[in-house]
Amino acid sequence: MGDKKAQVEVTFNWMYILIAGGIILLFFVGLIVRQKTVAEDNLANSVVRIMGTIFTGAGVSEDTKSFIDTSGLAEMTFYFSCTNGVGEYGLQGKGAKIKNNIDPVFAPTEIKSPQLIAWSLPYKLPYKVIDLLFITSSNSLYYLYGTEDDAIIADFQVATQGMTNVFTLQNPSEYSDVDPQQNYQIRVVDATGTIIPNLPLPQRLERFDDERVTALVLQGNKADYYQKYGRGWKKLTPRPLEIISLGGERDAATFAAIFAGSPESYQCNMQKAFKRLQAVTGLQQFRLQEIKNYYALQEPSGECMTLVSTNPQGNAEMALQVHYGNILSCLASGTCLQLVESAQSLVDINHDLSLNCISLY
Amino acid sequence: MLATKKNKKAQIRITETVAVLFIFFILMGLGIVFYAKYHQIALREERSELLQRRAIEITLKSLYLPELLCSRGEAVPEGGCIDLLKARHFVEIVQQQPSYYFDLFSYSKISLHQLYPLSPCYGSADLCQESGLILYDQPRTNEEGSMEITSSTNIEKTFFVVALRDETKGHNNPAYAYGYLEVGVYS
Repeated sequence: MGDKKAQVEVTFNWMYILIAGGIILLFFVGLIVRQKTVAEDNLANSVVRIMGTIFTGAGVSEDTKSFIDTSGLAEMTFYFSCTNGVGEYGLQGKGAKIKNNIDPVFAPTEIKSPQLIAWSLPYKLPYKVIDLLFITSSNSLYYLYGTEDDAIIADFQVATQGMTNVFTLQNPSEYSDVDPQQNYQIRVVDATGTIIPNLPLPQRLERFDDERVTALVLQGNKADYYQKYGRGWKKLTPRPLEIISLGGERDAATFAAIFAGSPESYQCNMQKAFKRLQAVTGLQQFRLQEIKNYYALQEPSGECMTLVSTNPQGNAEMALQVHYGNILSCLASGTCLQLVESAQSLVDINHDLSLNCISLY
Repeated sequence: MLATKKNKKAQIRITETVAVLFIFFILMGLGIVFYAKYHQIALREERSELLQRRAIEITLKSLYLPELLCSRGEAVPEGGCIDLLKARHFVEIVQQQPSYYFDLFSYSKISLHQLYPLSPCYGSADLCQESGLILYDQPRTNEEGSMEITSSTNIEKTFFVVALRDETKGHNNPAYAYGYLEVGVYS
């Protein structure tokens, strides 16, 4: 009787130990899994925050290229998007992200690379409005094609010296030899409109995912975006996008089109720049008022006063007002082409003013 | 006799179990207290790190603000220089677009001070006052809208030496003064 009781007690003790041990083990396993998730989320948050700080620094370091080592994050995918004037970037599949409605960031839709490249250029219309930040990676390749008349290609090539992911195609036949090797994505930039979409897709690009092969056709101040579609190209822009720029060397708005992942992203980020243009132009108007007050006291009927305010054929005050009106209509309707003309008028007036008077900017 | 012995043994086992449970709960309590304390310190450090990061970002943005820079036509703008003809009116632009500038500067205070010459005061009389010419000020407010001052309210200040340019002063050439930009970030 006593033996049986002892046997039951021992068996019960073992069962008790097993159940209790199992529960304790499960508790610790759960704790470890949770800690792992928390640690991964924390890491993702830190990475995105640090990226934000790096991008802020790169954004204000005009014309400086920063090569950021992300080899530790090479397996993670960064995404960049912009909708309704709000940009967003972060790590795909993680909650960590940064939203920004101020700084225009032009980048491929996705980047998965051991090295990021950040570069900023000032956007002027005609005075400095904001720095446009370009983000790309060492494994995002850019193939440029243009003739001698297409200054943008030569200009881009010179401006991107030091970047090993930019190549120039000397003639259309080189296009068929484009070899992406193990790189993540390809963008073909055609300044002639002869290659894209007319020539067949290079054979080595056929195995690539459609989203990772894109093209941009630049013709004057117009840009058309294309994306690989099977063995051909699909046009992403129903109408060519207008590039709002005064041209010249290191044209930030055109370079931005080259780096932007999609036409929507380009337009959304340019809207941020136009929003800032409104504020900067508002301040230029105040500055002009100060200059006008100064000349009203110093030489009310002098040449400078004529250029600033009294010339009925055209003066700085009038030109700035037209420019401001165009900015408001650009922000309201999205039609911004008229900004180029009003900015050019300001360039001309500023040139006249700078000879003997206080210049507008 | 046997029953008393059994009872005593059971009592000892119960006391033993209670003691084990007591020690277990004490250890668990200690663990929780240590973890809470560690978590609190980690959170405080993270908050302080975030504040410093925000301070760096806001300072950088203020220093290179296109609204205030000293332009030179098509040439590269003068570095470390603030155009007083624009700075004087910056606050009016902020009032026109408060939410835009809040997204840019968040809870912070940016002011400009003239150090040399002490007289005349270029741009605005405020420049030479102790408070300086306030370009932007957005303290944290409570629900009633008054400035919230708590024991943890802090302001992380950074100072930058800048040139101040006023083209309506000086003879033929713009007048320059020497001053500093003060950027304070509210915690």
